[in-house]
Amino acid sequence: MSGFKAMENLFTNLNINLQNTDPEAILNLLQPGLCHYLILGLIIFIIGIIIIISSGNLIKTLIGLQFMLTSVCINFVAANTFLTNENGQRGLLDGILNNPAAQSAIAESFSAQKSLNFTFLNPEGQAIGLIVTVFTVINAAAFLGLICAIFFKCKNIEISPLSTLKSADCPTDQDLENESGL
Amino acid sequence: MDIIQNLWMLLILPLFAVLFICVPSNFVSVPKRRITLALTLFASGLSFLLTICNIHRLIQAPGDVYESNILFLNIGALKVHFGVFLDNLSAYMLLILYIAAICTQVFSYKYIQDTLEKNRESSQDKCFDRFFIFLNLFVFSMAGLILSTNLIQFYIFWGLLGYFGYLLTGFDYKNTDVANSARKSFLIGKIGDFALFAALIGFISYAINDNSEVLYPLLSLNDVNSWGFLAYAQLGAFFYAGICLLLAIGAFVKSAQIPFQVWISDAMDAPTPVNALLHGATMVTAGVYLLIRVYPALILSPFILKVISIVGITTALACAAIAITQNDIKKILAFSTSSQLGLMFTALGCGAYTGCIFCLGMHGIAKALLFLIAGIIINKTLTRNIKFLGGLRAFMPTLAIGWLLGALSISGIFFSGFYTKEMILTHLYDTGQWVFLGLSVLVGILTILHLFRGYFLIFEGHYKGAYDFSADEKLPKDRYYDGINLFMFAPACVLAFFTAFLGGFMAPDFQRYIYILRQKFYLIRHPDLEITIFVISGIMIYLMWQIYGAKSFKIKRVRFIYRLFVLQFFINRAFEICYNVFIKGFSKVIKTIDKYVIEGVAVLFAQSARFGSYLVLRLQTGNINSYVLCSFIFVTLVLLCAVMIYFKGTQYGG
Amino acid sequence: METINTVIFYILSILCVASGVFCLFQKNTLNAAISAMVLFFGISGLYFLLSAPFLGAAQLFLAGGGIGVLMLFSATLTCKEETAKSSKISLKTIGAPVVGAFFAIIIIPFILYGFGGIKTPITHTMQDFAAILYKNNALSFELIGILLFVVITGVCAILINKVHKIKNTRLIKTPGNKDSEWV
Repeated sequence: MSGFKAMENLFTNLNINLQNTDPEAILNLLQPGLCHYLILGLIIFIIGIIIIISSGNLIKTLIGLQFMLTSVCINFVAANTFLTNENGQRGLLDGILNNPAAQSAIAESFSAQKSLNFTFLNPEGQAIGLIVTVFTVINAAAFLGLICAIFFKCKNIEISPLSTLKSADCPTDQDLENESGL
Repeated sequence: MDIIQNLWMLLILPLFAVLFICVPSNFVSVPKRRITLALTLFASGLSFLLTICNIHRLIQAPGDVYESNILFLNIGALKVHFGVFLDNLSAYMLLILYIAAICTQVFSYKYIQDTLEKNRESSQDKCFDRFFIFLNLFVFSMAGLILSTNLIQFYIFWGLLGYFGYLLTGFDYKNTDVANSARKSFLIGKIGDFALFAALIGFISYAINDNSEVLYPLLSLNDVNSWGFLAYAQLGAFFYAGICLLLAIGAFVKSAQIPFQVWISDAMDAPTPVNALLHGATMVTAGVYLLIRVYPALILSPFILKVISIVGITTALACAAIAITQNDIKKILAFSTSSQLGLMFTALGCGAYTGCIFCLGMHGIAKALLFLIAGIIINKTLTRNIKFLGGLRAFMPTLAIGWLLGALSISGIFFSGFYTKEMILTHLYDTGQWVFLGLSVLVGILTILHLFRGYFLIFEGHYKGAYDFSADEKLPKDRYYDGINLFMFAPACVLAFFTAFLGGFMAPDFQRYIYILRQKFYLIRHPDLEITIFVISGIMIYLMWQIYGAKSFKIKRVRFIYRLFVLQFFINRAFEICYNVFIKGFSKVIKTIDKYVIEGVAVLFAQSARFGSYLVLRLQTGNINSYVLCSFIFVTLVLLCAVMIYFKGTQYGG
Repeated sequence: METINTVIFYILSILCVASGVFCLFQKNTLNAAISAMVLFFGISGLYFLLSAPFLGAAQLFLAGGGIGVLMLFSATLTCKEETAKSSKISLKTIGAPVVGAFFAIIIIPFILYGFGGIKTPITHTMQDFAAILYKNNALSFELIGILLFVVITGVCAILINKVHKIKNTRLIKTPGNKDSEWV
């Protein structure tokens, strides 16, 4: 597997990293950079997954879902902040966008904007973040609507009784009408 | 008809009979049993006629040999032939075979019917047909054995002989004793098969001459000198003797010599016609026939000849002595057979080659006669124990005459056996082997003792059994003679006739007609020897009459010696122990291996499939959360692979 | 400046993570919803640190005021008693290690690679953001608004049916009922 070869290279990297253990280097390391935000996003994502897996009722599942989407959002915004430069170019990691075609395309799009006499930086990640946040709201709304519908039918929203999909747990409208004695 | 076609017909006729016996009885209008008997008699009778034709042809030209081979196995350098081979010895053996076979078949028509009725068998027709099918197949295999051209074909028919003998012996297999006896005789026969096969392999390995050519047909019985000399030249005396010893062991096992004689006494649980055919005339003579055929190879090792004679004379003495102590008619005859065969082996080992051959045939017929008489007695009185018989001479005098004929013949006093015994003893006298001569005379005495003890206990005295012989008077005379059914009586008569006169007819020119070794044996009569033996025999008969017939004095039994003989020197017990310890123990080991290792592999496959499906089953929890977890894991793995593929070739992956 | 940045970053991030972990171990759904709200506030703070003020504000009132309040209300209305776990082997014992393994797989390259070069964060202005929103990504923004509208309408449509049914029934007291309930 290719990953193992990468691991071997990284071990040498680690040695180099750990060799300078002066306090300045450590302080440098502690400053919030891209990786810190990504790790934070990862942790929140993980927490969201675990909440979904171990939730007993639907609302808790929804909460976990919110966690996951929030982490996505913060990843995008952090990437936007740290991976653009003054020229408006964005780059994922060093050397990925090496091909000159992509870079020239980006430069062209910015040159078009430059003609407006107004140069601006590129906060596209924030836009995406906004969209994701709104999407989270949409998700929550739809999900809550379904929860309410299920609650009206089955009178509880716990996962274990509902997952059997038995009709006794979730009676149909006919059953409800018969029950209600109208 | 051409002789070769004759010979092939001999092989095909019994198979033809079997084919038509297998037709179910719904298709025939007459009772199926008669058809079965008719087919069998047709096959055997026609074979007998063809044999007579062949003999006639051979008498006109005594030295002729007819051989015809088909190549039926061709694997590289291994070419095995299958063929028919007629020379004087084959013709003689075929004659004996067909005489015994026809008489046995007619006898068994009635005997088997009575046996099946007695046992209240449910499907009597099928059992009857089964018996005759096996009988025909047995005759086929014996004919194939006699007519075989090479030792490999001989071995094939030897195996078939053992197998059909097993099927015939275990005819009444629902009786556990009978089934066990049949199995025992077959398994002990297997020891001989193994020895013979080992010898076969030994000879095949050295049947290559100086030019590295293999001689075909392999191990030809027509030309034993060729491969015998080759093997001896390449192996040296010691190993050659070893291979020949294996051959001899094969012969010993088949002919019930010490220490392998244990099977023949248990084989007496078979129906009596089977005993007459197998253990009188055909199967036990196959061993002697083998040694006669390979005699030119055996001569090269005088040690082996000595071994054969020693084993033969030991068996003769021991079995004759054991036969004196037996109380079962058929067991007396069984041990008598074993003893006489030992005498034949002695004759062969000492060089009385022609005498051995002659004795083989005459003994076969006489022993078949005795077995048939025993069969008639058993059929009538329903008992095999001579303690419950006696005084049958008053009721069935013809049987007494028959038994006397047979006994006198086997003992070598009168009739056919006299000529054979005379030939053997003369040769021993001439070549100066006094030890063997003396021991042979002793064997003769013991033979008289046991056979005439049998006679006097069965036919003289008062009848101690339960059968009501007066009822026999009411039987119709045209179907019953002396109260004996004609189907059972006629074969006994025929055999008695042959016992009485065949030997005398053949003896004067026998050596000229057998004439295999192209060495002349000259015939000198020693009257002094003969008269001595005659007198001694007379004394012995008188002795037996006094002890058992007139009951003048009783012999006190020495308990230990009696037990020693009755239990066959505990050889039986030794075989039993070997069987239990080795064969059964080995089979237990194999059973365990089969159950846990071999089946274990299959079980492993099945259980692993089951386990795999169990694992997948556990995934189906019905719990939504676990499904989420599984999908998460799956998506993670897919993304991981995608990322790795994406970064392959760059500095971060690859 | 930088040290304050660092400190605030760590406080906020620890707040987020702690609220997440707290939410994980809650049995009461209401408490879980409230800790989710705490998370949203924390994330909003982080957005301000990342020089995305608009997004921070939007996060506050969208996530905190919208989603959080919705979840609070739903939790209050629907969850009557504590949810009892019926399975003996709780999924946490299996799921958490698995997910932790995933976490570890992702983290290892970070540790070994090093955290990369520290890039200086760029400060974006609101003008940039507005330009992005109305010039480049205007379509997607409009679409997401329409989608929001559609979803809200749909949810209302689903629930009005049920509400009609509830409205059509009467509140009666039958003997044997413990308390009056919608029949």
